[in-house]
Amino acid sequence: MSLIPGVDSSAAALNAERVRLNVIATNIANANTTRDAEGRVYRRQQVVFESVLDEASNRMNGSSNTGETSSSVKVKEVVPDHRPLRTVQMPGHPDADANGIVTLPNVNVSEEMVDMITASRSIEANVQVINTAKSMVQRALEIGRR
Amino acid sequence: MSIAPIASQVTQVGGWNQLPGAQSPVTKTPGSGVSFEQALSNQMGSASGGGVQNTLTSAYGSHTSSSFFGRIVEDVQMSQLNARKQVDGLMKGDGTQLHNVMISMEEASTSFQLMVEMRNKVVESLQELMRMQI
Repeated sequence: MSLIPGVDSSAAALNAERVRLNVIATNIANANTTRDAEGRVYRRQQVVFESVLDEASNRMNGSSNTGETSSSVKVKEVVPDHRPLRTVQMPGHPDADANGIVTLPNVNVSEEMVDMITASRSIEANVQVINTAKSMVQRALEIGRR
Repeated sequence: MSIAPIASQVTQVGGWNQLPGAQSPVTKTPGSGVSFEQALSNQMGSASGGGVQNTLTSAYGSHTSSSFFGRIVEDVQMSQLNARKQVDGLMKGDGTQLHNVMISMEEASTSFQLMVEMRNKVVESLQELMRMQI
């Protein structure tokens, strides 16, 4: 992808943000899930991003001269959030324990919404980078045109 | 698709191999063309007889044409095939992401425009040459 500069990093970022959006959607959907397939309460998941040096694109761009290095984002892992679960007094609930207390997931929907806004803005920004890079290349193609 | 990696990976240079179905490149003046190819192959340290299929590699795999423009046309062809393949993959749901598909389509269209501009430049310089008075 060396024709349009910077597009590799942006593509990787779009991939990563897509994963994050998926995780946010899962969290919101399971905000009140008291029992999953193994019988445990759902625990909020979060993504960990990691920056990876983009070897192939560095080689192609000849960055050793200018010291420019391009890194891409990668989703390193999706880890459960270890904050304490919510406990609510609900004696009639099928999953209530002996004291009538139900443990609910530690998903805070407002927090998830804010994360979602961040992810969506990040996606927009990356798409904007790709569009701008492409129009730059188009302008460059016009050099010498009468 | 940039010119330098293509040129730097010439391993064999054969005779003029007309790309089937493609327009003949405008710079097809056998005298100068062969000498350019010879110079390139000498520089790369390997030369072979005419008519041998050469294996140039670029980002898209190996080429079968020995002419400069033939290789570029093949590159453009391959980037367009790649874009079409990704669209098919997206439709079939094999895990291709939409933004990757869009990016490869943009890449294909940009490399096509680059090829057109190169052709224009070459045509223009040929016309300049024709206009020269003896």
